[in-house]
Amino acid sequence: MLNAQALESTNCKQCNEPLSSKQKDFCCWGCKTVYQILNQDSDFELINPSQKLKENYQFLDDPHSNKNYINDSGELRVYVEGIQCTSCLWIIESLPEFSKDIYSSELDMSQNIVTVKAKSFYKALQLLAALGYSPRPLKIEDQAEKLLLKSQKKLLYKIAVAAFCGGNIMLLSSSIYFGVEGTLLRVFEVLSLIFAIPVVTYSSTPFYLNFYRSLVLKRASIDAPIVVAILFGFLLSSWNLVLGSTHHYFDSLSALVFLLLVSRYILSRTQQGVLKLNLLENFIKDQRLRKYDPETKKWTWVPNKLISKGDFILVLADEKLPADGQVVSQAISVNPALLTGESLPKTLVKSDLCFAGTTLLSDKAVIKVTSKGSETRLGRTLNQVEKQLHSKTNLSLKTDHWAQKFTYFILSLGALSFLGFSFINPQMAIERTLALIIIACPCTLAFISPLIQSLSIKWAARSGFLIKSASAFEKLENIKNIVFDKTGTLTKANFKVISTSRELTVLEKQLIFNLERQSDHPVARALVQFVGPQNITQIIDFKESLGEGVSGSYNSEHIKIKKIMSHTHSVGFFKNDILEFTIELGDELKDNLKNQLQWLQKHYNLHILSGDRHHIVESLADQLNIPASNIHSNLLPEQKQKVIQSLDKVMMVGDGANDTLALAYSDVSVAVNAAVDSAVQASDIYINKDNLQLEKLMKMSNYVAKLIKTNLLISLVYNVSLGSLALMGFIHPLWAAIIMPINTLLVLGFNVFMFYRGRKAL
Amino acid sequence: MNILVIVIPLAVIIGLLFVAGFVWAAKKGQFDDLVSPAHRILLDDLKENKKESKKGNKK
Repeated sequence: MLNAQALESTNCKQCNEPLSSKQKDFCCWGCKTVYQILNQDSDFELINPSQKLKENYQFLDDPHSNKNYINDSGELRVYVEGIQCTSCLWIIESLPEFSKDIYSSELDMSQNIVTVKAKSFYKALQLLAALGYSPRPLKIEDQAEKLLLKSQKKLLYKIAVAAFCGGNIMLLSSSIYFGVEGTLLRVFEVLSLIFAIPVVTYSSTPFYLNFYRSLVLKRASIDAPIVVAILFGFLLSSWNLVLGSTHHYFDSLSALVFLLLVSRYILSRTQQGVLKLNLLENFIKDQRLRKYDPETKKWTWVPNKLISKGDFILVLADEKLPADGQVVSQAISVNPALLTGESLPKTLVKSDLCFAGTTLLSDKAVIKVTSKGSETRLGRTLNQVEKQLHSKTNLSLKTDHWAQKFTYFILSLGALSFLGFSFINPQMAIERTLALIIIACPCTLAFISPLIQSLSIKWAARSGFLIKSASAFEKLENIKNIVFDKTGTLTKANFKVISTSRELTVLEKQLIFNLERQSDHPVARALVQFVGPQNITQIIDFKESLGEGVSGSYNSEHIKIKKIMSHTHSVGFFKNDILEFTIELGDELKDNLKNQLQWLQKHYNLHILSGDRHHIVESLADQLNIPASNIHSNLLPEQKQKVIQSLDKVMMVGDGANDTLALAYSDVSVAVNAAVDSAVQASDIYINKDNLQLEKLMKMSNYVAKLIKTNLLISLVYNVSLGSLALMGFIHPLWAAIIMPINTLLVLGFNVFMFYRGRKAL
Repeated sequence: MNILVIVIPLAVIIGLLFVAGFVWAAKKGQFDDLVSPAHRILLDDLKENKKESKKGNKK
């Protein structure tokens, strides 16, 4: 066994990748599973299922509801998190070995998308989750997305044509520069012109199209100067050729087009298009429900669209409620964390209202539907989010902005010099103006800005930040306020015991363990975890009732553990109805949070927005040193949105369905790990690692912002000095042809080096 | 220098052949995923490591 040999403990046992301090033995779940499969003779069996599915994806197996997800060839595309190395690829592509219901699975590591063919897609998702990769099924692309993919491919063809023509032109021009004369010179010149035609008419079409679009929308665009440079350069060069001068710039022109196309192609590939709108759309509309059929008196699965108001539906433990409704069961317990941000489970009794999106904690519940799909509270919020996201316009980037200003300056300077020189010598006027435009064209700017963007997106992705569009990253620099959601963002989703009113005896610990282990309530789980495994003792008359805690008898003494009403955070231990001690519970802060917030506190205003009760939020803010004036509690999603709108230059960090509106309205939005799909969709940045490393994100954006400024300065110096030389008539086309690629290479090298340095420093 | 009459068109034709090849590859999806194939080539090693490696894996 080659790679299974145990090496140093600092490397992954399977793939030998260096481990971070938090990881133990393995770098990822794939490695762990592969290691287990290779070393134990168990044939593709899961030894330790890592996690359960967070949402109910059963509808994917129902041919009536899965149309939006399964494409014509019967494939489902799933976005997975946590892909690290070859082991992940192996284990995911071996899914058919685990279950006969899966026919094939193929992983695209560049986008983290698995394409699955299966009899049961639900099973495939379950397996992926069990392997440790949180799966999110993607909708099939709509028309617009298909067009986008097509245009990306077309861009490749255009690059190929530009490379071919540009290469030939360069060969021809170099012989011109080296002194070809006579007929051959004319032939070469005409050939250059012929090769330049496809570059101008075919390869450059994306620029014309973008320019036209920005004209229609009356918005300034970086493509305007490029279009001017290409068309002017081509026409004036051709004119010069007709006049018989050797001053033409077909070679620089085609090199420019080629470089710009390549940098744009790279950028479009690095942006995390998967997380964009519509692909991750909330599937509440596609959900299947168990409906009560009065004729057969049985629960049957039906698609959501066949449910109407007044129908009875059945929901089981750990499932999310699929519709708003009234509780029909006696009493149920739900976890509203994702919908409202409340950390504590809620008890609902008969005829209480319950809302789609809350998770059921009780074994089962019967609900009378009052509204479904987009009419539910959750659905309405999501509709509003979608509207807001559609209306958000893409702000133009700062580099683009500077490039434009600069170009208009150059163009007017060119026009002036043309007018001025044309009084002296029209031929010279054309030559010098042409040299100025070609040399000083903001090609470095236009080329550098997508380059820096794609490098920074890649850098961020490596550190665990998936960035949807480059503009979000640039906007980070101006952020003044950072707003956090509480539940799930600052705290872990589950509770922890914080303190007890006195030391517990061994017997008491045993009793707590034996009573609470029989309950599935989150509080019970926290208590069991707190006391740790204990000896089994005989409890008789065990009873669990909602809102009343658990009770039982031991040695003829009646023991009861229940919530103390006035104090929602504590439970009391009663012996024969006398309070013995209390246990304080709370939601647990994420690891290392305090250290991480310390730096942010120095540079930004921090706020907390929560749907949770005031005193819970307050005590948490106190621990984190966030001033009381920046705490907002008891908020509905709409109120969160209002707070966000009242703040200037704000970044929202959240995870739940109740945060989506606020996320959609903030300047930069960040969804944290394990956020619900709709929150991810509403966000610009998604942190796919467990810790909230915002400090790193902000430092990275500042570093990149500084780098952009340096680049602006460099190109300013370059353009001004060479532009003035061109105006004075010192720049021959030969020099232009030499300087441009050298300059491009230098700038490229400089930026790659700076990113390398940044990665080391941060 | 008359040789150029043949050589230049020839060079152009060869170049065009390469462009055509590139377009064909792009159409086939050769450039869709540039990461996984590099890893996939290592998979056989992993499979051989498994003592009772299963035969006939479709991949």
